Amino acid sequence: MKCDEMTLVLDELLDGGLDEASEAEAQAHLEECGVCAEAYRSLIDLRNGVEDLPRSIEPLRDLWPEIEAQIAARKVARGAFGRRALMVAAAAVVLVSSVVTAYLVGRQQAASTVVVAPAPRQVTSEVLAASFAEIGVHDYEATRNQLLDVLDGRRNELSPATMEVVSANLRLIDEAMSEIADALGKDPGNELLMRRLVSTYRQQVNLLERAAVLPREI
Amino acid sequence: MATASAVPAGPPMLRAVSSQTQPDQGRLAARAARGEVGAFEELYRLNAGRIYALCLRMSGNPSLAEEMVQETFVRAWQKVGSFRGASAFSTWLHRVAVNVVLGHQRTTDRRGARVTAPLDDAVPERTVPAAHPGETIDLERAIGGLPEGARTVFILHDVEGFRHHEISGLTGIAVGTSKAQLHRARKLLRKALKP
Amino acid sequence: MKTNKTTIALALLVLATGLAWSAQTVNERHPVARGAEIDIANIAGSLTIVEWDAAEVQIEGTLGDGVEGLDVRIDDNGVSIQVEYDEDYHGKQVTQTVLTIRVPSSSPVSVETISSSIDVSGVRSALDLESVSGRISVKGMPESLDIENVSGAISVESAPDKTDLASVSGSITVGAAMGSLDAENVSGSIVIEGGTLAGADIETVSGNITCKAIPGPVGDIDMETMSGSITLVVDAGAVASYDIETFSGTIANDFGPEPKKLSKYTPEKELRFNTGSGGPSISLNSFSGTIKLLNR
Repeated sequence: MKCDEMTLVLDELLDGGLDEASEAEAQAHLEECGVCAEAYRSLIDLRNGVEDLPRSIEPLRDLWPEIEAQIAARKVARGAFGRRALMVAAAAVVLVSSVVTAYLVGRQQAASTVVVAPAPRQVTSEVLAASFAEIGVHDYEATRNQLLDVLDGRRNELSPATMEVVSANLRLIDEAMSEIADALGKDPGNELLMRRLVSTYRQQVNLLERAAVLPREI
Repeated sequence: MATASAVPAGPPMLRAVSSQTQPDQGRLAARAARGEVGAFEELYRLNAGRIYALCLRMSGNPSLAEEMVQETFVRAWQKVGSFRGASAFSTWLHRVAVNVVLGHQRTTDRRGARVTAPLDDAVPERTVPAAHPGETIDLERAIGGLPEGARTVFILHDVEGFRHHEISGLTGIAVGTSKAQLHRARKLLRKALKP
Repeated sequence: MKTNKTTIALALLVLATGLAWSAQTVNERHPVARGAEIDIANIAGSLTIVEWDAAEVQIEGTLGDGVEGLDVRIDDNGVSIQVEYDEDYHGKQVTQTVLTIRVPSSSPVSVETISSSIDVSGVRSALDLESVSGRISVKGMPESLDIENVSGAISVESAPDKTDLASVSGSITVGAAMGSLDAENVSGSIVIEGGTLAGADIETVSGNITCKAIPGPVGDIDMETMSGSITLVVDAGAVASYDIETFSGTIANDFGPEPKKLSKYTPEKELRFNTGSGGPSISLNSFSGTIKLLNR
């Protein structure tokens, strides 16, 4: 084997990709050729250096709370939720639903008048927040408000047509959530309704998230 | 003329499968698949560091890497129902992370925003100190300085332990291209690290 | 990284005399390595991307009014082709940018536009297309397909496995599904005309969903809308299990038992049955949209 052939083969040799005969040939060459042996040694050194690299690097901050919020929004209860958790989720979604309506109404008013402060957003009650915490959902409302803020912030980037489609469909989902909440009022604890409420909530978050990353049109 | 003493050959044994006693991740995954957020949080705690290391090295950007870690775990949650336990959970999670990173790369490339943030701010204090810290930093920097294609293949092959045909499946590049990129990466790194 | 900028001598004249950038023709060829990625960006006009055997990229056509030039960059990863617009040009766009780009068959292609249409034909590798209001169409079958649009229509002749399609108000139409499909829309419709689905996740808010593809033996089919209708046309004799639910919509089915109302307090209706065991699970779910399960 010649030296120029060796350069191509060294990687394969290191990675164990050569058949017996080729490997023997390569080893034989390395024993005779100082240049190639040196090159191979530096490959080994590189590999050793890589083995020294830390396998694990902790992020600067705990990312779990944000992951959890996104998970909570996407969860569709398929019997995984306990009954109590579903009730809590349902109540919370109704609350959040009215947040969305208030927000959208507030924004529409803001658009038609000069400068109007945003509609006050309802705050999750402490009991509700604590119950949410029990099923492992924290800061869901903060995430939702964040997403609504992002959408609002994009009014100057998205075309009026797109904003209208997004807003109209958000309202549609909002109305759906109210209907489900009403139905739950008449048939409390109905598991199917609970599941539907949560999946509707998921649709809303999904839409908000998509709207947040739509490409600029203006 | 210098002779090479018995030079070892063989695939890099780099895929670190932890042998410490830790809760069986497969069981946690099964619980997570049934909707137990608590079990999934434990899986997060056990794997976040390794996933972050992968994302950080691939992207070179700490805050982008954080986003990728989040996206990885959110996706993993959505798919955990389909995790069959054929491989270790952490390996499965790694693939999810690799797909997230490669997806970002494709988007970033298109938008023309090349990632150039140096790794200086990102690497050392929070990592497990290596045997030769100075060399480690140099190597991380050198990896960060590789052109994207070569860096991707180098990290996937030499750091994360994927084989070329796996890399081909993940990235869509041909096996031959993967080998060529690896060869290139190793060549550039050896040059960069020469004293 | 080599940079090859096609600039126009007229540019200087423009600054001097205030003439508009007027259209020019282009005809360029650049060699590309096998498997090199090709990234194309254009704002307005139309792009046609065609596959050929040469290890080259060819760009041919017209650069419209207001275009500074074609910026082609080649590096080890691939080729990037950008139609560069003059930001200060506010004149009329009489002539549009119309380009035909020929790419090697093994190259993954990604295209990004705002209002420019994208027509791809014969590309067999990975395809990633994004637009805002441009119409996107794909003929032939790529190895993988990812399309995002906002208001432009999406039309796919054959959708490979793991196809991902997303729009907001544009319609999505798939001629033949050939694998698993993920499609989401908000108010736009989703229509799958044929083929076999190896699993599907189809979701809209108010857009209508129509599917005539065969639910393949592998993979679950999940379709969900709020107010959009869902129409699924299947072979009633094929083995499958059906889980159909609506909150306040109606369910009309050609076969299977009658839908049941679940509670006297809510309008919620459900239809659950199977035609044999071991087939795919098909789940159709609407809030208020009509659901139709039709026999082919």
